Amino acid sequence: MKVALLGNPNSGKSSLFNQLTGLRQKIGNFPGVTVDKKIGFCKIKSNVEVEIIDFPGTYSIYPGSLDEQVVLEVLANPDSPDYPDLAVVVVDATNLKRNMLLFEQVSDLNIPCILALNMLDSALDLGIEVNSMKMASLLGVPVVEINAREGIGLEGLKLAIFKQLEKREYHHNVSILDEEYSLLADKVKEEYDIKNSYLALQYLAQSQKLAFLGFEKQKELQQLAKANSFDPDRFQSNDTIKRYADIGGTLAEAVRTTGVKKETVTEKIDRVLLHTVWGYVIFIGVLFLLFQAVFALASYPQDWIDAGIGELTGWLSSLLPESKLTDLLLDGVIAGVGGVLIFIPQIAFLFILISILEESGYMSRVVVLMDRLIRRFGMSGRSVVPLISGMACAVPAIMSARTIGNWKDRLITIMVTPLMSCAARLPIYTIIIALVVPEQKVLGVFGLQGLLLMGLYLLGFFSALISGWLMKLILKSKERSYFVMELPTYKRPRWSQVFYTVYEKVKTFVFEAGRVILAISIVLWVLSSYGPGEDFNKAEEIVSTQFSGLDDVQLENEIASYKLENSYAGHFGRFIEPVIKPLGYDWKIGIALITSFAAREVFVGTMSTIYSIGSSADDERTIKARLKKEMNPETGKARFDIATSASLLVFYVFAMMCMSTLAVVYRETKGWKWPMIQLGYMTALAYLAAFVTYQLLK
Amino acid sequence: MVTETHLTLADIPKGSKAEVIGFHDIPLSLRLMELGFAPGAEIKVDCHAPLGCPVCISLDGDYHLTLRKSEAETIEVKLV
Repeated sequence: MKVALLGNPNSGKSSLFNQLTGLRQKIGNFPGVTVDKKIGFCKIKSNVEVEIIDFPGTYSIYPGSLDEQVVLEVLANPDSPDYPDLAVVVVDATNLKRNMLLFEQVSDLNIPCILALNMLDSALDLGIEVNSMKMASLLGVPVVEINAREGIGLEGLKLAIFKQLEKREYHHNVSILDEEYSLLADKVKEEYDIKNSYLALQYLAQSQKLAFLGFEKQKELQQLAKANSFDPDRFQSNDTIKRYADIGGTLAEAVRTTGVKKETVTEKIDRVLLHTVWGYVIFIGVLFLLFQAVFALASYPQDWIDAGIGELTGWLSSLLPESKLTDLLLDGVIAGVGGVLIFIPQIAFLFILISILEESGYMSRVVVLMDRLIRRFGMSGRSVVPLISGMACAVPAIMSARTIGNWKDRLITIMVTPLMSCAARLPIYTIIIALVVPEQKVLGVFGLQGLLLMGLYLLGFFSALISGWLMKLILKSKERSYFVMELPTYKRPRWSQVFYTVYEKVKTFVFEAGRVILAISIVLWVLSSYGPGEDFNKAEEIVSTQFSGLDDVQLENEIASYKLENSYAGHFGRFIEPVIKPLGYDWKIGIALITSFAAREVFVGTMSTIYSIGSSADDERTIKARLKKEMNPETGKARFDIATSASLLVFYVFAMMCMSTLAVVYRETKGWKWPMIQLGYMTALAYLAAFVTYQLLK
Repeated sequence: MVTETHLTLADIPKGSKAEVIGFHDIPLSLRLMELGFAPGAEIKVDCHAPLGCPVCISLDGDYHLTLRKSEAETIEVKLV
């Protein structure tokens, strides 16, 4: 048995879903569309279990975004695998008139409904008293009082579901079916073999959105509508207005409003948070705290994971026999898995904080504050969240772009978010800046190195805005969308809801993006651990005859570096050298560029391997010293002079050097097209910018 | 249809109340009606974001909405 959970956004539908199903939920896809489907299971009686499908929140069955379209596509298609036996429509009692619209429409599609009255306590505070018994008798279907937040009334709801599934009761109000429409509805019913008049009219009004009909039928229906001068907009308008009139009648009998409207808490808070000056000051303060918290809190578990992986590698390498297979397990698989795990604390903390901001209702106010400023760059106020999160890590940031309803705004946001300098670029920035920029103060207070670092972040931010502006000019969108949205009242965050969100995001990251990162790590390991010909296979002999006076550790380092030079990755590095030479790089930097494709921070590790520092890869001082010593044989000057270093910095500001990001863009856009375009444009941008930088400073 | 005053929601100052008379943008009006913006509804303008857009308004009860100025301009209202 399938039970659909339907309701307006912010009606408490997701809370109810979590309350009913607990952790027994999974995420799937609705067939043919890019919208996540949440399914859970719930025991409504000791021996009866039902499947509960959480549909995207919607105000009506006339969809305004792709998410909402799913509701129509399933409810208008009795043959859909997700078609429910019963619908629980969750309504917010503080705004019954608007919330009942969806209930009426779903009922008229001949789906047995239960009306779940939520937020009765808030309604009572506003002086709204709802008589649920009266409503049930007026509507002819079960009306259940619940408190989805606290989980009150769940047993009553389960009982109602059980009874409604046994003996179905319907509510009908096809008040819009006057003569004009009923004749036409009969025609469609006969032609397409359907029984419900309201559904027949939906066939006519929204045939374009009903993909399951097939192209032929959609075209036929459009012609039929045209031949009978059926105006879909007028029909929808009639539908809405007449339903509101009917709902008004029901509510007049079942709802009593007392008391005059006072200024609510939400209005008082908004006066401060949306203030012309204080609004922005507070917003910047919140941002500042968010970053501090993410960096400060995530660094501890990240250190533990890092240490744990190190311990595990050490333990396994002492346990397992020395072989290629062991190397693959340790340097390929475990290193790859570690690369995935290390991101989890940042993702988790960022999402905990962001979902608290969302849950409390503050995020909608940020959208209001930023919309005007960011709109000219092809995005909407809703893009602010991903852009900000992108400074920690692009992976969760891109996942959070889902809140953007408009596909074009969302796509532009996804495409430019990786330009925001993420935490992984920090090691590269700091090492190279420390290499060429002296530690001195500007104007007595600002460190020069710190200023340059900030400059790199700003470079990323402004290029994200400019790229967004360019994409706005190029991309065309047929989807008409509106900004108008509800500003939910301020609420205490529901911790269980925060937990579910974080749990789901982390799980998605580990299993979806993690797979790709793991695969790439293994490929990189193979490429840098094997090489063609004598040079690679006899590296030990060649190096030991060449450097006979070295001790064991130094010799091992020399061998490792010689092997890398002659591995497939090394050959590839030299193969691409002509391409990167105009940027001021040699083949060694080339290898680091390639390996850093798995993740940017790999750059530092690879550089340290190439410059044979060996096991003490994390000791910056040694890497720095080595890099400083490295000479450019052609010029006789230092390899990392101002020009090459600046070119590298600029390259990493723009380059899409992150497998995880590409994997997550692939997942979010459901295809390889956009991640490939993103890789292309960011690489081109990085190359050009690095080229210009090097040539100017050379 | 142009009325004598043709006042739109965008003209209503902060803190004032207005009643919805009609819409100039049909597709947008369908969306607005779903959100409870039917003709006859009473609206209070709570605030304008800095730079005048978006506009924040409230309807009956504790129900708040925000919309862009360009959207507010398509809603014809009269002052209450």
